[in-house]
Amino acid sequence: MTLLTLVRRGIAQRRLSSVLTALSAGVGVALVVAILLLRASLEKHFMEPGRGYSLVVGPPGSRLQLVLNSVYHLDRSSGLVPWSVYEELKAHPSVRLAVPYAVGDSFRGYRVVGTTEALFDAAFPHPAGIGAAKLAAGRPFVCDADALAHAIADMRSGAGAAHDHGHDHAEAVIGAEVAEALDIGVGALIEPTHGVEGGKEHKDEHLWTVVGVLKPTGTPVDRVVFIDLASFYAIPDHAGGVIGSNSEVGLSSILLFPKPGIHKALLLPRLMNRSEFGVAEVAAELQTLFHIVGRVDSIYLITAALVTVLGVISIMVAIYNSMAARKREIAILRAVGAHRRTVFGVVVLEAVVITFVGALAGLIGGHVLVLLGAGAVQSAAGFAPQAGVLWLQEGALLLLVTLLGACAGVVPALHAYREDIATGLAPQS
Amino acid sequence: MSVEVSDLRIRFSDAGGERTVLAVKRWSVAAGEHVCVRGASGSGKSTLLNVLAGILPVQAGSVVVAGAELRGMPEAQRDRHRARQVGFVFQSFHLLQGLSALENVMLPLHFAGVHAAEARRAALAMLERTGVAHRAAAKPAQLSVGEQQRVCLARALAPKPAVLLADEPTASLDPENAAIALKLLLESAREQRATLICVTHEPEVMQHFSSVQTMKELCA
Repeated sequence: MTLLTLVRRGIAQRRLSSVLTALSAGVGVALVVAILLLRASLEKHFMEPGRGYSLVVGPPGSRLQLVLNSVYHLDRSSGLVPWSVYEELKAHPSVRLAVPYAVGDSFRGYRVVGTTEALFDAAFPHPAGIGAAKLAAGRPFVCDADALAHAIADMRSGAGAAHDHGHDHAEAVIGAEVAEALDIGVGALIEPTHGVEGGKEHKDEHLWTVVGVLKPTGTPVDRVVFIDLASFYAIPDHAGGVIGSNSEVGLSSILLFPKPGIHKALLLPRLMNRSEFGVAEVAAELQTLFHIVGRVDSIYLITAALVTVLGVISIMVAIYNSMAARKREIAILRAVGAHRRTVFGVVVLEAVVITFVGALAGLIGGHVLVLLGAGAVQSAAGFAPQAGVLWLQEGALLLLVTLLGACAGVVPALHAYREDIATGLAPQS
Repeated sequence: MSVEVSDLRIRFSDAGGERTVLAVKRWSVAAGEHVCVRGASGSGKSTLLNVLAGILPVQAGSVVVAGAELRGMPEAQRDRHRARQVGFVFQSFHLLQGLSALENVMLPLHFAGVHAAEARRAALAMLERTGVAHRAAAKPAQLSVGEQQRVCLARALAPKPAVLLADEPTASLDPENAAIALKLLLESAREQRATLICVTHEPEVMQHFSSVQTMKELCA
């Protein structure tokens, strides 16, 4: 016989009221947990793909658009940055790796990105590894330096890229999702169409051979078809080629990976002073984006927290209302030797147990809610929330709500503390 | 002496002002003695029991129960004293509805600081003694009126109190059950050598006591 036994028996005796009040707190907790899980999933969905990237250089304009375009492969490219900038940055002493991106084509709904072997460098974060280690099958494509130099020279001279340099060797490496969704692998021939949304076909037949399939990364890289840049420029009617009238070859963006240490800090202010291109710091842009999103979901979170507080208050009201009926019970406890502190403790413990059980049910409910709603969120927001346990946050929430419950129990407990035994024991008429 | 009262005065204040509800000049009960106190409703019988149990504080005078002076004793200490030294048998049984018969009997043992296993053993033994051990797991609502009074008696006796207080112990029972309960109360008190103070207005109860005192005599 412990105080907990007394409390358990009391709760069992008032089963319906106890369950309902526990649920009232649980509903709020379930909402809080669901929102926390959605927020965590959203953060993971947005922030994870950005990890490992450092700087993106592109046309002047929106830095966020630059990041979304180059890291998330979303949205259209907002313009071009001169090839000379790429050559300059590539040779910069603070730069470890520069990865050129040229976009403008798609293959059956998947974005085609022209780039170099830099994609297979250890510094390029997704997938991790170096060279063939990044691949689930096949080998890295070969970006023929001579062919690329010729293509660039031809375009600069105004001859266009009609020579189709390197076309015989046009190679592609595809993302894991592209391979799976389209059921293609090494050896497949692909024919990109113009426009990132998948538009008209090119006038001439241009085929690329898939030579490798990247390992799955869980990032937008999985949804990209990478082709070697030389073959990209070899497409005669390609849009991603020349800037204005000076025949300068253009790139959609350049992913920069500075050398470790102080180099990024040295590089960034210099790049920001240049007017012919823009530079975005990936982590900072994503933080800004997430701050905007986070502010919106904070409103939901506050609402859910208020629902939880209301639930806990309803526990207090329910226990307080039951005190009149429990006057005798308290008097009996006192008559057989219980101290005022003991009955106070019994009532507070009851509030704690009800709140704890409600909050625990709420935690489970929140996860179930997210599991059940995952499909709807996926179709509405484009990402599937994960119901994995957020140990720290959920543990803190459970503790906090239980503490709130203890506080809520104090009011009826004080009532019980002050209860007069003699009156409680007197025969009731 | 098991109970010694001198110059006790209890006052209650209500809308009509302050009034004395109990005034006992001098009264004592020897250890192991069985005393019946009779009196009309409102004569202060229940107040007397509440004072002896330490439920009501002693406002004036002196009350010694089982060797402890209750006057000036802090409430927490009176609660502990009650749990260890005083058994209470109520007219309406006052069993906790959410607890089983066994748990009800274990309750005062718990508050007296008895270890759970020992409390369980003692409670079962007392239920055995009062003839309701087979109903140990039943809730009060599942027990007959007679069984409930036996459980109430077992609860009062379980801590082996020095003083047993009975407030109209048979008033809620039919004559047959009343006779059984009273016999059990007297026998158990004798076995435990407990001082028994029983307040009642029923002549059938009084005839079982060698010493019957009226509230008027006490308050004289």
